[in-house]
Amino acid sequence: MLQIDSVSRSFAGVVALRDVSLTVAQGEVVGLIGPNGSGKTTLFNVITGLFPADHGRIRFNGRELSGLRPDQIVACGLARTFQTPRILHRMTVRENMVCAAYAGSPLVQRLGSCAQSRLDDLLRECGLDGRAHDLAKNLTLPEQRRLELVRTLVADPKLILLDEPAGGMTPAETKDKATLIRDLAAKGRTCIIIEHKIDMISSLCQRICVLNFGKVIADGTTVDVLRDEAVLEAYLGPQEAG
Amino acid sequence: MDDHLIQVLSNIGMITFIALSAYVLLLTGEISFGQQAFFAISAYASGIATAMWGWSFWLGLLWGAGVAGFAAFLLAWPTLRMRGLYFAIGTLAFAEMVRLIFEVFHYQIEIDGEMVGPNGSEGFRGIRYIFENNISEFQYMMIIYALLASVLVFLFAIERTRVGAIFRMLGEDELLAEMQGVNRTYYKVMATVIAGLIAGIGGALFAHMNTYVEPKIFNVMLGVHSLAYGLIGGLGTALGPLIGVSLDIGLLESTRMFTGYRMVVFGGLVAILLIFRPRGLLDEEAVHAIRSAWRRKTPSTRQQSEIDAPD
Amino acid sequence: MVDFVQNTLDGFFIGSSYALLAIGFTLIFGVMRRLNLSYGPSIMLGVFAGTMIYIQLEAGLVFVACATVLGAVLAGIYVERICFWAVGRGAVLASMVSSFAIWMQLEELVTIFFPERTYAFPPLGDFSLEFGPFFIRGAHLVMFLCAAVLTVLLHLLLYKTRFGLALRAVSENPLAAKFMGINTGLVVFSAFALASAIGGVAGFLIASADQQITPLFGLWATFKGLIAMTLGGMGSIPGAIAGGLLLGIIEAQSTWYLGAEYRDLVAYFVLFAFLVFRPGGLFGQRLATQNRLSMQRV
Repeated sequence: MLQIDSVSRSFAGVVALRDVSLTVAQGEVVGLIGPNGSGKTTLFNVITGLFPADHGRIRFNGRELSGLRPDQIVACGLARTFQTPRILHRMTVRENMVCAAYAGSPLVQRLGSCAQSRLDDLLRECGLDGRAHDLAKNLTLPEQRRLELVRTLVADPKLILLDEPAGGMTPAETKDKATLIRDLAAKGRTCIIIEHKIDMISSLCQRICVLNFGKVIADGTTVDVLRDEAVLEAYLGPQEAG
Repeated sequence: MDDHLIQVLSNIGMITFIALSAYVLLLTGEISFGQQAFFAISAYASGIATAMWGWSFWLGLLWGAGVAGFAAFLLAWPTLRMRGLYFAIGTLAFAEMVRLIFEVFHYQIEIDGEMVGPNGSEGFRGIRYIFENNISEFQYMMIIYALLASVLVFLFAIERTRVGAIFRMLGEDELLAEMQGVNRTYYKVMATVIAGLIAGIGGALFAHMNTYVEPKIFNVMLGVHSLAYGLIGGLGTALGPLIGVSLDIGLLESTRMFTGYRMVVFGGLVAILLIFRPRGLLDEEAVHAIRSAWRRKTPSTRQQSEIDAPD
Repeated sequence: MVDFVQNTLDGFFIGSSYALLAIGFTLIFGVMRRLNLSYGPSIMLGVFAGTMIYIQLEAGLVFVACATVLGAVLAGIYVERICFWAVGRGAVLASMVSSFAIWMQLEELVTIFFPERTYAFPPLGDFSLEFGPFFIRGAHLVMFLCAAVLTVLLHLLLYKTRFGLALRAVSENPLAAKFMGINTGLVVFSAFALASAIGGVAGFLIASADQQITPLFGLWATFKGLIAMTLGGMGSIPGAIAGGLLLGIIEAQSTWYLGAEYRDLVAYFVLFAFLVFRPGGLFGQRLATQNRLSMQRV
């Protein structure tokens, strides 16, 4: 479904991504892990067209993504969340959803009652219906992250890129979040998840890809990757790994 | 109604157009110091059309607004990459260029033994369509308010549909909007053109009411004032600019309250207001609070108001 | 050729006063990342304070200069407290509009106390120098020398003192500066006072070169400073100097070759072209691309 073909990207001499290749099949849930600054978020930014790749190509469902604007890429069926939640603070939770609905469907000028009730259903599914008419800036962090996630669903994307969906959350909240993502995956959506919480990743993903210094150092099933020497080394440093 | 009142109300109406034009850009998150340029362009273009080419008032108005809208379309491209203060200064530079071009713009023809037309810094006299066609000041005021009402209705309609939602989305977080599939360029240009058209309508009305325009009128002060009006009234609703203009021109200037000290008092009040309400009287939160109160009071309309959500 | 050089000289000397205005502007922009529209009007208040003691007390140049600077600093502090300190950090637009409201207030205060529009200001250096075919007005020479001395002093202040270090830290990253134990509020306040003082000197020099002053000076000073700052690159002090000189030279050349009515048109045209093709100005490209705060929106 998504094919990333030896993509490189550097910023002012610093190489952020070096020949990264990654293929994700339909319905897969892939964990993307790596130490801070290893290029995980940069990879998301390159996929979504925020920064163009210096080299390499990205194909999504057979369509070439490089050279497209972010909005064109998103229209192909991609959606993402952000490391620090980006929500529209001055609008209510529901208005956030309405905006997403308009943004994702260029031909709709006004939402019909069918589309409206779909938004309500989505909010109910993730437990935000009680806060639908509150201003989004008054939400707690877990609620903001949930809103971000459910907002990506409005456009009914085929592939969702989740950037630290449980960042800054307590263990209980993390568990809730994992359940929510598992439900998503159960409905056949493909996900790539950046996360530092290995427990969450290993419970959600069948497959893990590890980045370090902008390079893919491991890619395989969760069990294999977590046993990999190079991965341990990257995370814990060479002494402990030995 | 006495003449003074008509004069004041007409002024409020005309200035509201340019304040609304600045407001549309504020919605998309851009501060413009240059909306007076479109006001000026349309004032000249419509004046030329009616006074020199003999067009009718309505045709002149359409033409003026159209030229202003086209100028806005041209301006939208170079300013697309400017953000924040850069946009503010870029629009300022553009508006001052327009004003200074009118300072040296000469285009006159002889009508009934009299030279008519823009004459550089001397200004443009004799835009007398209103008087030649016996439209009374009261009637003209009604024309102004009818047009203002249409523009407001148009803006309210926009806010309830896709375009308004996307404007506000761009205003809060451009990157997020793009990441959800908004074509930034398209909507930014659209906002600039709408703003230009609205200022254009005001400009044409202004020229015909005053019968005389000169480049000096369209200086930076007009632009900054119109920006300030939108902010004072509040960024939560299109009524904000009208409230701002009414407070300044209506309440203080017309009632001649604090004569001689008006700006001392008003400037101080605005500064204090902005300390407590940095997004104006009716900001998004106030509008939200009003709407929630309304929702609680009339549960039967709940369904309806939900459908109209993205205001 | 002689004309061209003479124009460049004239522009250069006048530009030195624009450079001072731009330095004040850029100092405020550097620490606040906001525009102080009331910058010119607060200088104007200072200049009128100078005029007052000149007319009422027939005071000497030194006293007039002190009164001008003092008036500008007091007005600047007033603006800082109301429009910047009191308005929350995130509200860029509110600060800008609020400073505009205070501008209107200051301008009206001046017209209340000085009902006749034009007032005399003591002249400075009523002599002139000639070098072969070239000619320099004494007032302009004094203007340039004062500007140069002030720039050197400012450089020493910024790079050789603790206060300068704190000021640079705040303009680089206010939050980090705060965590390092710098009293950011005090630094911003002092930067504002310093900028107003520099503006006061510029106001004094310009007013005494013109030998008169009107309430329109506020508008004029704000926009000259703003244009010069943007040409040089927002937030950069070398840029402010270069921008001021460039603006002076552009104005002098276009006045000579195209006529006075084209002077401002050309200046704004160059400004617009800079914003489109090189938004960072002459010296601020790095600042413009790196510091996202200057792109901060409503």
